[in-house]
Parts: sequence; structure tokens; C-alpha cells
Amino acid sequence: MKNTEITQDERKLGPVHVWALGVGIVLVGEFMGWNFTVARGGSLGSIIAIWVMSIMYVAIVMMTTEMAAVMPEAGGQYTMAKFILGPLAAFNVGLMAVLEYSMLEAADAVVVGEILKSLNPAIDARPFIVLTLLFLTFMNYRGVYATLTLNFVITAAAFVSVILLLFSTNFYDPARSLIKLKEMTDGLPYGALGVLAAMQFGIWFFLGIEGTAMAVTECKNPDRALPVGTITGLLTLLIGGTITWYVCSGLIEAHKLGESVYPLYDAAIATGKLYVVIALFAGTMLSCLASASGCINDASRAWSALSRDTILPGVFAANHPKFGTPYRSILFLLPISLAFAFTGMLDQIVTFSIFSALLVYILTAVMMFRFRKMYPLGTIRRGYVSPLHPIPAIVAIALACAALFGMFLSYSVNMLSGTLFYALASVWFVKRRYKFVDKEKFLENGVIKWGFPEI
Amino acid sequence: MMNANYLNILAWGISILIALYLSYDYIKTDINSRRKK
Repeated sequence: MKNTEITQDERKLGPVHVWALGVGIVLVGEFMGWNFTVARGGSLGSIIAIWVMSIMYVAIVMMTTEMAAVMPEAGGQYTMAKFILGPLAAFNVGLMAVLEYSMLEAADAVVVGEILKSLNPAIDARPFIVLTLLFLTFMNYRGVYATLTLNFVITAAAFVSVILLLFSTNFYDPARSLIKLKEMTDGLPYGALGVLAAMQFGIWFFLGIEGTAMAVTECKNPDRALPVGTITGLLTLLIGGTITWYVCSGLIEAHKLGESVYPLYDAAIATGKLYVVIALFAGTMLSCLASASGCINDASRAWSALSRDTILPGVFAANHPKFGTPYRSILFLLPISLAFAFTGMLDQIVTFSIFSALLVYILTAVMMFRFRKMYPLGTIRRGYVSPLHPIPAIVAIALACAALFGMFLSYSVNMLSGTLFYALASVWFVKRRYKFVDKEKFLENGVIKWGFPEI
Repeated sequence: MMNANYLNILAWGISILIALYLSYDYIKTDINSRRKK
């Protein structure tokens, strides 16, 4: 995908591509971050939280697919907020999405630094964190993107390394199995409250799967490709996540697993087999690099889209005359990721990313209610109709609020700072930017496509 | 241990070079776009 402009010839994506796109963005979650569920809710609390959160994602994916399939422009949740909720919500959703990606990028860089440090304790993680972010920024600045095909290969290789790890444990043979679930796990030490606290990190296995909605303009037949590709992607992640939990919980003691920076790599070390260690080292590095590169790409494009829509100052909308990339946005976002990555506090960085994502999910459910009110069934042509409305929206809001409550138990200061940040940003937008937004032009494409709404 | 120190310095060095290139290209591009205006 060299440019944001999409020609007819490029509208070739089918369900398989959507699947790979979704899984490719999210797979890095199996290599890091999810294991903080074990620290919060214990081994059993971790797997319960992961499965419960997958229900929220089914609801989010159903709603997103219905709305994304009819949107007149590409851009996922941001475009939906723009046409359904208006400029202030669009500004917030855009900002949240940019920070969600920038924090994920920072988390990826931290893991790259830490995993290199594991090779030799004398290696300092910081220069490698900086190098990772600068190198990937350089690649994106020059427009040398990891193409979709390369991402497929990396995704496949990373997934194979997880399966290799599973089989290297001889789990199928009780006499030789290295998996010791009974000895290594700690059950449900903090009860139901622990499950609630674990829910936010359970999200890490799926965070970003809803981004497949961004591919809607590139799909040959979005009505079919988007729901089929996304739901099978979600199932793949759930199966992959359960395998990851099973292998890691059976190989690493729960208290160590809960603090690990690279749980799958630690599990590989626990097998004592060199080829597995090398495979998981490569898998972790590759998935982190691919994910961070994709995040720089997505975050900078979202930032420049906000600028193009006059929600942010126009300077960020400019493309590089030679490379055609949103170079100002790319460079502007770099220090933010660098600052967060430099702290090295992986769980805090991950928390901020998840917090932003949860707010977007709640707004997505709100959008769904409003969308059905503005354009009831039968008034406009829908590619996909989300079944059982309003149940998915209610489930999504309830589970997102439960995860936020769980987050509040352990990271109340982070949450309050995050809320304050978005509140101040909103005040800035209303006071200083709103007057520059050309409201008619802003909604023009939506009105042309659907006509004026009923409310 | 010595090798690790060299690696750390190498990583800092490459990072600085990339940062210098990005700053140079950014300034050059912006000055050019202003001149055209």
C-alpha cells in the first residue's frame, strides 16, 4: 500500500486478506503484554478475562462492520465518528486512535530493547529502543513500507514459531510433557475482582482487530469479505491466545509470568531447546518490528487525516514532495513514542494504549445507537446488518466499563491522567479549533451518499 | 562485556546519524516548499 489513494485495480482484497491484515496487526499481542493478566487475576483469572474480552470484540466487530461498510470515506472509527457524532467526537476518536497506535509502537520498541538485553546483560536497552523507533521512522519517512505480502510472511512465521513452541513441549504425551500446569499455575488468587483487574490486559490479545474496517475501500466485496475475514481473524486470535496461555502457564511459574517482558521467549527458554529459543527470539523481534512499523504508518496517516479535515492545524496534512509520505506527522509523533518508550515501563505504556482503545469502543457503541436512529433499517442500503441490535452495543459498553473499572483498581493515576488529557484536549478543540472546521464540507460526502438523517 | 559496550555505542551512533538525516531532509524540504510559495 504505497499511497492512501486507491485505484480500482487495487480493490482486490478478499476475506483471506482481511483475515491476514487483522491477525497481522494484532499477533504481536501474543508475544508481549497479555501476561500482565496473570499478575492481576492469577492464571485462571487470566484465561477467563481473555475469553470474556473476546465477547466484547465480537460485539465491536459486528457494529464496526455494519457502519464501516456504508461509510463514504476510508478511515475506520474516525470516519464513523466524523459522520455520525460530529467534529468534537471525531477529534477525540482520532486522537485516541493515534495515541493507541503510538503507545503500541513504544511498547514494541521496549520489548525489542529488553529482548536484546537478555542476550547479554551488558547491553543497554535504551540505545536499541531509540534505534528501533528512529530506524522504523526513517523507513516510513522514505515510504519504504513493509508491504502487505511481507506482513503476511512475518505473521505466518511468527504464528509458526508459536505452534513450534507448543509441539516442542510434547504436550500430547503426558509422560514426556514439559507442561506442568498444576505446579506452575496459581488459580484464582484474587477472586472475581482479580478477573476484573485482568480484563484490561486480556484485551491485548485482540487490540486492533477492529482496524480491519480501514480496509473497506480496498475490498472487492466488503459486504462479505469484512465480516467473514474479521470474525475468522478473531477466532484465530482466540485459539492462538489460548495456546499461548496454555504453553506459557505450563512452562513459567505464575509470579514470573506475570512480570515477564517477553512471555513466549521466556517459555522457549524454559523448554531448554536451542532451536525453539532461536525461533521465538526471531518471532518476537519480527512481530514487534512489523507491528511498530504498521503503527507508525497508521498513526501518522490518522494524524494527517485529522489535519486534512481541518480538525488539526493544516501543517500536518502536507505530504513529502519526493516520498509522498505525511512526513510532518511522522516526525511530530516520534518524540511522543520515544518519551513513553524511554520510561521502559511496559505495563504503564500498554495501559495507556488500552485505555484509549476502550474509550473508542464505548464511543463505537454510542455511534451504533445513533447510526440506527439517524438511518433506520431500510432507509439506506447496508452491506451488512449487525444482528440482535441493541444487544451487541449494550454488551460492548458493559464489558468496556467493567474493564475500565478493573483498570481503575490498579492504574487509577494513569486513568485519571488520561481522562484529564482528553478533557483538556477537548477544551482546546472547542475553544481554539472548532471555528476553523468547515462544517458543510466536513459532512458533505455523507449527505451526498445518504441524504439528510431523520434526526 | 567489551563487545556489548561497542554495540551500545554503535546503536547510539546509528541513531544519531538517522536523526541527523531526518532533521536535514525535513529542513531542506520545508525551505524548498516555502521558496516555491
